[in-house]
Amino acid sequence: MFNSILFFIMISAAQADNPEFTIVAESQPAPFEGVLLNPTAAAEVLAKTDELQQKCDLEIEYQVDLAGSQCKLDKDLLNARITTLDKELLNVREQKDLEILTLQKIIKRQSPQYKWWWFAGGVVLGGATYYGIQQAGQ
Amino acid sequence: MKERILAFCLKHWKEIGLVLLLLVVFGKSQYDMRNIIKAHETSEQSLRTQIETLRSLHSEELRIRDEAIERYQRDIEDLEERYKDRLDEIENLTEVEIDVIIKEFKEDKDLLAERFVETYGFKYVQ
Repeated sequence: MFNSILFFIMISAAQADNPEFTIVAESQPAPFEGVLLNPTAAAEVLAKTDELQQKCDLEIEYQVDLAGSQCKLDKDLLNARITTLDKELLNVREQKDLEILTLQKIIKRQSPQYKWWWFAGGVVLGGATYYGIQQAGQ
Repeated sequence: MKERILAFCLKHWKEIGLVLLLLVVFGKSQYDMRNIIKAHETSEQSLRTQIETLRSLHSEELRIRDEAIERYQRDIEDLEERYKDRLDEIENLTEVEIDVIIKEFKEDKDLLAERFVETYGFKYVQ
């Protein structure tokens, strides 16, 4: 019996500010001008609202998760870069320190602090040579 | 013999002095050269060690980076799969709801009218 009943929705053109609807049976006159939907179409109109809301929520959740994953990736990559740069800096500094230490040792051997020893050695050697030659000449 | 050597030295003392001086200069320049070479070797060794360490650090970074990208790709795949499953679920639920509403309409028209009022806020005209 109900299968023969049609669902009627009417949005009145004259009363556009107040949306209205009603349910009419088959062959029953409509109380106002409007759009008639059968039960399946009406059910779809009702169910689609929920569906769209759920899809919208799902889309938001999906996009947030996507952005979160992208953010996590960026963070991981930056952390990897930072760790590498830290280690690089440490390594370069360590090697430079070692290099400086070794170079300092080399320079120290020829450092000006030995110049007076070289000078004294030269004077003594020169004097001794001169004395030796003089003694030998006599 | 000794006298002959002594006489030779006395006679050529300038030449002997010059040779000795040259030997000293040669020795000193060799010593300086060794120091320069050693300084160069030290710098070279330091740079080699730096390059080796940088290489290993670079490969380590690439490994970490690849792992992070792999994790990201797995996450995205999981997300997409969950998203598709949820979409299917929502569509299936909608189908079920449509059937429920049609059934409700057959049993009780007012229930459907209530749904319309709740969902869209339309006024129900009897």
